[in-house]
Amino acid sequence: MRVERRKVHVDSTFADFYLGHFSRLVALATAVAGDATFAEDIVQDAMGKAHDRWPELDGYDNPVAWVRRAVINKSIDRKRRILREAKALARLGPGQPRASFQPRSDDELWSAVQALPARQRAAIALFYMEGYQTNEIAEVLGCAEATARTLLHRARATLRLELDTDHRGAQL
Amino acid sequence: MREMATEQEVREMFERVAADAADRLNPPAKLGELLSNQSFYARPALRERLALRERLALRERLALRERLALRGRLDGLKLLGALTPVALSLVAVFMLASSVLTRQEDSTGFIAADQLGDESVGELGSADTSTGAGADVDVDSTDPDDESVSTTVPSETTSSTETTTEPTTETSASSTTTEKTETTAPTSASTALTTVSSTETTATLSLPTTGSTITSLTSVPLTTTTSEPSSTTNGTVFDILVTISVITADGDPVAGVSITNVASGVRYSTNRQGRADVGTSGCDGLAMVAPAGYKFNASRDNRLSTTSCKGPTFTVYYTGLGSTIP
Repeated sequence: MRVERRKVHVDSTFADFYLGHFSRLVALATAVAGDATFAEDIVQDAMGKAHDRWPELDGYDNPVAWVRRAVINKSIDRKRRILREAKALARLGPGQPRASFQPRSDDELWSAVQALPARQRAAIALFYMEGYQTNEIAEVLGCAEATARTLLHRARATLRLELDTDHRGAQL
Repeated sequence: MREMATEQEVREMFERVAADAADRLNPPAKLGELLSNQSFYARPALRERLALRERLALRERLALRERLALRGRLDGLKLLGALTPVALSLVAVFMLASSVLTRQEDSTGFIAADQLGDESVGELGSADTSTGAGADVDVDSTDPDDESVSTTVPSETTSSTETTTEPTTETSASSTTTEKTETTAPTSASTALTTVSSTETTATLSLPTTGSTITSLTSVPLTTTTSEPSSTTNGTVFDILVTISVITADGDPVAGVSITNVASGVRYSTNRQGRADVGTSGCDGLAMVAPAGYKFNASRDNRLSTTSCKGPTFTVYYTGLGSTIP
């Protein structure tokens, strides 16, 4: 009987957790993985793991940090895989384009962000989208704070350079 | 100034991405999907199916890799095509020279490959069973002109089949043992190249319906028309699946009936459907120990085995309670 009560408790708190963070995590995964369809799968997968470990995670001060870290890691992996597959398919010649949802942000800035190295992209997404400080970014990416600062600096420098060389940059 | 503008643009872009996600997604529906999938993943059969899907995906990736490798070889050919005529002439001269050298070697003692052809075919016809190589030979057994291959089961095998196809319900334990010995398959070389396609046979057995202890032992052969290549001589372990089902006289399945493999001593028990898959090796007999009054269906499936029992019959022994396992 005690187990049943615990299960109900777990499910209800997990549901609140899920509903409260799902969309935001998908947006974060979209920014890092570059594909909204994949992002949904990534977040769903991470949430599934969180559900399995919910009795443990529920005791954490900030359980979403655990999920966010899983999402970032999976997004980086997925982005690398997409790039590898794209290169392989490009070598094989033209094929059918993969149908997937893309964000409306189809401007040069989105392309420039997606062209960044995976960890720089993750750092910049965490900084601008989640409002993380460098020490928090370092914690999520599993690196030193100085490294996170460097990733952020290089990402911003690259974006600035890209936008300056654009025709939009010439107008400013 | 430009830096601040960039920062603002980046921030706005991420906000648009977040707004997109919030507009498009339906978290409650996704939550329901997740919870149903969790139960999906918790089911072993479905997990296996998922693993199979992953293996198929891996196979697809491997196929892609092969295509890439082929592409690389084609690129190499294109490179060869791009060589100048002079370079091609040099390559041709080199190949011609190496060919001449090879012919000279043949005339000084090496045996040319085409001289080996007929002799090697003759070797295959005689089927070296000690190595089991005959199992891999693709023989068209329907060709009447192919005298080097025997497509019939050897006579001693046929006679052992006849001995065991008609069981006697009152056979004593000692006579059954004799029958088991008789069903041992021959090891002649011609058997090794014989391949017949039929793989499954079912025999229905019945025990005396008295409730008293049964002391007699009955031997019932499962006759198949299969006699496949054998390589027992080099100690290959066979893997044959025999499914035995136990039912009442009314046709109801009986669970929990104990079935013992005589050769290995491993015991099995029928499931709720009254069936037990009994793996066995070679042509060993099976002993089934069960209460009297039940019927037995036993079927042999060779399709799971890489090599099958070399004899055409498979003998199942069964007894009632209190009987002795042969």
